[in-house]
Amino acid sequence: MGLEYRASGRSTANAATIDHVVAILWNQHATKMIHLREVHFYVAATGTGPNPGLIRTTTRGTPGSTVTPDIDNDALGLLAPISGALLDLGAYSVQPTLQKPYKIVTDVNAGIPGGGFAWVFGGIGIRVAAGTGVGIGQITGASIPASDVTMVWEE
Amino acid sequence: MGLSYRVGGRTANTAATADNVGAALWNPHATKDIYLRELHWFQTAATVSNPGLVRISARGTASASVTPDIDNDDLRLLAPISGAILDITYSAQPTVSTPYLHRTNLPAAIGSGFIWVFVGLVLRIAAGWGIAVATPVAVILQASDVTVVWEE
Repeated sequence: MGLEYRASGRSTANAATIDHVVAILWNQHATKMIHLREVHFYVAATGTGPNPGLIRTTTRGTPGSTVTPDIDNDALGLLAPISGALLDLGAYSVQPTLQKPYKIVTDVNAGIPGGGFAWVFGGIGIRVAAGTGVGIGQITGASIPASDVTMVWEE
Repeated sequence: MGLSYRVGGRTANTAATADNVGAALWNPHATKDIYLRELHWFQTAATVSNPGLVRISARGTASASVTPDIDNDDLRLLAPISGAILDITYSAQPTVSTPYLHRTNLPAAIGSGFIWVFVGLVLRIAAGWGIAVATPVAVILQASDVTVVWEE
């Protein structure tokens, strides 16, 4: 078992385009893998019913903003993540390349802010290889509003 | 495994200022670490807010606090050696140490809230540090009932 990290941020509303990405945990390391343990997602604005899904990516694309985890994001407060993992947030100006099929699909009530979910992955979690990412995409052409996203991973 | 403690209190509204803290578990001990196990947060007002979990490196000035004693030990054996304290209102804000660890968004409903449970490697709060619920955006963090559970 390695060190556990968690990072969080808010995406902006996506275009109403299928497969557009909301947030990705991007592993930019050349060789080190990381393991996704939890994903938390809550819409922060009203909108039509969004349909988020868990998806792998093979390229980073160009995110709208990025949260760069540091030592404060270590559960033990000991070390910044060696992988240099980043939390990229939409809306993207250049979409990442998705590695389908989606691993999880769901539907969120966006009638009021706060609709969302927490996915927890048991065992060793979801492996994120070096130079790849995993995160949330739109499985339909329904726009996902601005949302609070938290990723928890181990490395 | 150490002893498990839990304490609760009611916060006041923060200002509509980014990174304003609503409540914090502050570890005043010079050397002893503590470990956050759970955080419970439930709004008392029907107004949208945006709670986030963040570390704090300076306590600020709390105008209201809850001081745990032997009754807050799950086994009722010992008051917390760390002297950990739950601050719930501030006259001078703590110093936050971003990035945020966790964020969420609550609807405009009394009683909306969450329970975060930290399993496996729990959240270490080093001596002379704290962990807080703050608003990452310039929107009032509503008065809420907060409960923290920690181990030391």
